[in-house]
Amino acid sequence: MTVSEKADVCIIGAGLGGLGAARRLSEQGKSVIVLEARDRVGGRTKRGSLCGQPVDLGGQWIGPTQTRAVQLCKDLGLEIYSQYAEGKRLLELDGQLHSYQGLIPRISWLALLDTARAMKRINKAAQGIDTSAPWKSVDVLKLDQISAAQWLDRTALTRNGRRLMEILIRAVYTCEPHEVSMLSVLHYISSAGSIEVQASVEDNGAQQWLVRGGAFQMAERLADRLPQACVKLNAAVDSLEQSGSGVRIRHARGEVKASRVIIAVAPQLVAAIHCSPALPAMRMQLQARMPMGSVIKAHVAYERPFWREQGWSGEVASDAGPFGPVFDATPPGSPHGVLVGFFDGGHSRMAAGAPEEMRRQMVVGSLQRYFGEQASSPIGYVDKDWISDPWSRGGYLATTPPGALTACGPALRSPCGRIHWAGSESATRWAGYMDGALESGERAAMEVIEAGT
Amino acid sequence: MSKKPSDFSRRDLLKAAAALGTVPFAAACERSSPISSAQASSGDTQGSFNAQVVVVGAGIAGLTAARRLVAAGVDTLVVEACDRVGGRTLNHNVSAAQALPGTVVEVGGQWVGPGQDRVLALIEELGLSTFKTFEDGNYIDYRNGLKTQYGHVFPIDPLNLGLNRLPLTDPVAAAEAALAIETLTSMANQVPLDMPWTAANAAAWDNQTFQSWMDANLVTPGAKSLLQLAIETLFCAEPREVSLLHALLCFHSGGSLEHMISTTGGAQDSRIAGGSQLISLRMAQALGSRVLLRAPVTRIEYNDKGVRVSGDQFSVHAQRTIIALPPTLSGRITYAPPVNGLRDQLTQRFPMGSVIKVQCVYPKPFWRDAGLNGQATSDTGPVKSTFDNSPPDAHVGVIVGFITGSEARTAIMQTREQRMAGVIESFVRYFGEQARTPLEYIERDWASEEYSRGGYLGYLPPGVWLDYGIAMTAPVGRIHWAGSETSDINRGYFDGAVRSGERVAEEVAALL
Repeated sequence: MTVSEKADVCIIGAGLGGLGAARRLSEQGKSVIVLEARDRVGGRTKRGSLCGQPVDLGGQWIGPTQTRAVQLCKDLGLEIYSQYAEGKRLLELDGQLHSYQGLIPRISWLALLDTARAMKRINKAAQGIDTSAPWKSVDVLKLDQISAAQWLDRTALTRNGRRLMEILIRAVYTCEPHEVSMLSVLHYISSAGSIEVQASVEDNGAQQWLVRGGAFQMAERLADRLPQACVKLNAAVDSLEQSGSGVRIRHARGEVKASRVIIAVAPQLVAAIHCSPALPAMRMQLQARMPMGSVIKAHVAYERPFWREQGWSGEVASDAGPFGPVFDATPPGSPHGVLVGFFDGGHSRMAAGAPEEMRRQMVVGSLQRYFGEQASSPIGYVDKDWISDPWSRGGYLATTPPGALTACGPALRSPCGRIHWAGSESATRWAGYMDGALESGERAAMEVIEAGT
Repeated sequence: MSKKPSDFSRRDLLKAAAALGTVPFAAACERSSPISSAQASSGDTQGSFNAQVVVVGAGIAGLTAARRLVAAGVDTLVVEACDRVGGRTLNHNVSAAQALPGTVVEVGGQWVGPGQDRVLALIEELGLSTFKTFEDGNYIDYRNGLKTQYGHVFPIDPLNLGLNRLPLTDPVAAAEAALAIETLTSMANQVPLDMPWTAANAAAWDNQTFQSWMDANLVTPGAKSLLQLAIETLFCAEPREVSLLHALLCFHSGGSLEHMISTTGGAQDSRIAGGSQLISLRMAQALGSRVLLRAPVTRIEYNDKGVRVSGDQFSVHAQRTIIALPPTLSGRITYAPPVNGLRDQLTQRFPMGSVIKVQCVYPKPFWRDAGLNGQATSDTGPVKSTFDNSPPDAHVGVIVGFITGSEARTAIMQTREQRMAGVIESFVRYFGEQARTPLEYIERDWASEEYSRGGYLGYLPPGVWLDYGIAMTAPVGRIHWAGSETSDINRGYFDGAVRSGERVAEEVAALL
C-alpha cells in the first residue's frame, strides 16, 4: 500500500538539523513532512537507559557559546547543569598515569610547553580559516595537502607533546590524525572558536553543560511541537525525482510530493538515495570524500561515585585507551555514580561490531587502570556502537581527507535545484556539534523561504 | 616485467605520464549506447529470480566471475544497474561522415600491456585481438609557455647516456625526476601487495600525501611538475589527495611507476581491435539471459542460509553474492543486517578519481606528417596529456586527451561547448592550427555518471590502509567482494578486474 502525501517542504532526517528546519518552516506557515529512516527521532542524539535513569547515547554536552542549543533548551523548558569538574584529572601517557589539578597535567615541562606551543599555532592557523568557505582561505592548498599527523610531525617537538595532541584530535574529531586533512581540522576549530574550547569542560568549553534528563530530549520535544503526524518514522528514503515544479520522494512507507526538499543527514548517507536527475558531479564527489568518524560511546554505573570520594573529577584522557576520554556523568541527585566515555578513532575500530560483553570488558579494563580496583565491579553498563548503525555509519561527525575540501568544498551547501542541504557538517559555527545542526536547519529553512516556491 | 630503474627515460615519463588511460573506467551508463541486442530491453528488470550465485555489476570483474562460475557448473545470475555491460569500458561509434562505418573509439578504459597476463589470456580466449598503440615520431612537451619537440634526436644511444631522455630545455629537472622515480620504485617494492599495511614504513608512508613526499624530496619545480602530472594522470586526483603508501602500492601492483606511464612495452602498449568493451560484450553474449540489465540493486539481505539481492522491481534469491563494484558504489547499497563497521567505513573512505576523457576526430592523423606521434605532456590544462587514438588503418585521425583531478573539477562545471573550446585550445597548442577544426568532438565525464561517480578508479587518502586494509576483500557473511580495486596485481587495470573476478569465483565456488 503506497500512501501519497503532499507538503510544501519535505525534510529528510529527523535529527536536530531536520527538526530545527521543520520548526522554522512551520512557524512561517509552510506545511512540512519529515521523513526519518529510524524508528525514533534525534539522529546522532539518542535516549538510553542505565539503572532506571535516562542517559545520552549520542550528543550530550553543550557549551555556553553554543547559543542556538542553549536558546533551544530554554524554549523547550529543558534545564541545564554544569559538568562535574571538581578534583584531580587523570592523564595516561606512554604507560604512565599522571593526576593533576586544573588544566595542566604534571608531565614534563618540555612536553607541556610543546603542547601549548602546538595549540597556539593550531589556533592561529584556524583564525585564518573562513568558516563559511574554508576552501577560499589563504594558504589553503598548503593546509589541505597534509594530514593532521604531518602537521604534528612538523610542529610537535616532544613525544609526549605529540601524544597529547593526538589524544585531542582523536577525542574531538573521532578519527586518527593521519586520516584527516589539516584544513578539515582547522575548519572545525575555527567554527568552534579554539581548540581549547572544543576540548574543555570549563571556561566556555564545549563540554561545560549538560541537559537534565538528557540532550536527546531536544529532538523529542521539537518533534512533539511540530504539527501532528508530520514526522514519519521508519520511512527510509529510496529515491528523489526532481522536476521543474517539484520533487517526488519515495520512501519505505509511501511517497511525498513537495515543492522543495531539505536533506538533513550527513553527506555520506545521501549516497544511498537515488536521485534523478543524478546529483551534480561535484556534490557526488564531495559525498564520497566525507567519511564519518569512528566512535562507540559507553556509560558505566557504579554503586557510588567512588572517584569523587578519592578527590578525582572522573575526567581521564589516555593515549592507550581503548576506552577514553572519560567523564563523570552522574545525574544530579542520583545515589549512583556514572562514568561516560568513548572508544574513538582507531581505538573504536577493533571494538566495533564486537559483542557488547566484550566491549564491556574492555571498558572495565581501561577504567581499572585509571581508577583502580573499585572500578572493577560496575552495577550497570550500556553502550552505543555508532559505527555499526546503518543510519549513521559512524560518528560524531564527518571529516575530510587531504585535498577534498579544496576539490569539492563549495558543494557542501550549494542547493541542487530544489534540494537544499542541512546537517551539522554544513554549519559555519560549531560544525559537527548539535549547535551546528540547529544552525544548518535554520539556514536551509531560510533558503527555502527565500526561494518562494 | 619492468625495466631497470636506470633505463628510465624522461621521454618515457613525459609521453607516458599521460598514458594512464589504461586504468579501467568506473561503471557508467549511457542510455544511447549500443548493447548486445539479445539483452536489449525496453524497461527495468522486473520479477523474482533464483540462482546459486548472484553477481552485482557487469563490468569485467563481475562478468569474469560469472563466466568462471558458469563454466564450473554453478547457476549464476548477473545484475547490472545500467542498460549495458562493460562497467568502466564503453565503445563509441565514431559518427563523422568520413569515418568508415563501425569505426570505434573507447570513451572508457582502453589499453593493455605486457605483464597483464590474465586479461591478455581472456582477450585471446574470447577471440579478440590487439594492435600496438601508435608511437612513431617525436613527443611534444609544453611547459612554462614553451613547446618542445623531443625524442629521436639521436638515433641511437648505445652507452645509455640519456641522449634521448629529455627535452633539452630543463635537463636538471629531468635528472631529478629520474632519480625520484628510482627512489619511488625502490620504496614501492617494499610494499607487500596483499597487505600493504605491513610494510616496514607503512605508518610513515600512510601518514602523508604524495604531495608531502614531493615537497620534502624534490627541489626543482620541473621535477615536481612532472611527477604531479604522473599522479594526476594515473589516479585522476591531485598529489595532495592520495596517500603516499597507496601510490607506492599501486606502483608496485602495476609493475612499476615507469611501466605504468610507458606506452610501447608499458601499460599503454596495445589496444583492442573493435574496442575494449568487446571484452565484456563477448562475455555477456556467452552468458546470454544470465545477465539482467537495468537492474539497480538497492538492498541485500543475508543470513546463514542465503542472500536476497533486490532492487525496486526485482529480487534474486541465491546462496551467495559477489559485489563487483568500486567500493564507494558498494557502500550505496543497504545491507540487512548491516555489514560490519570496518567494511562500511572503508567504503566511505574510498573516493573515485575525477576524469573527463576527450577525443577529436580529424580527416587524417596530420601530426604524423609532421613527424609527431600524437603524444603530448603539458603543465597547462585543461588537457595535460594526449595520445594518438586513430583506428589501426588511420583512415581518420583521432587524438585522445585526459582532463583529470582539479582540471576535471573545473571542467565539470562548464557546458559541453565551453569544455570543447578548452580542449581544442589545448590540442592546437600541442599540434598546431590543423587541430582547430575536428570532424567530431567526443567527451565523457565519468564523475557525472550516477553509476560511476568518477574514474578511472578509487584511490585511498592517507590513513585508510593502516586502519581499514583488512576489510578490503574479507567476505561479510555470504557477501564476497570483487572489482579491480581489490586485486593485488595490476590494481585498477582491466587485468586487476579479471584477477579479482577469478579470485572471487574460486572463493565462492569452494563454499557452495
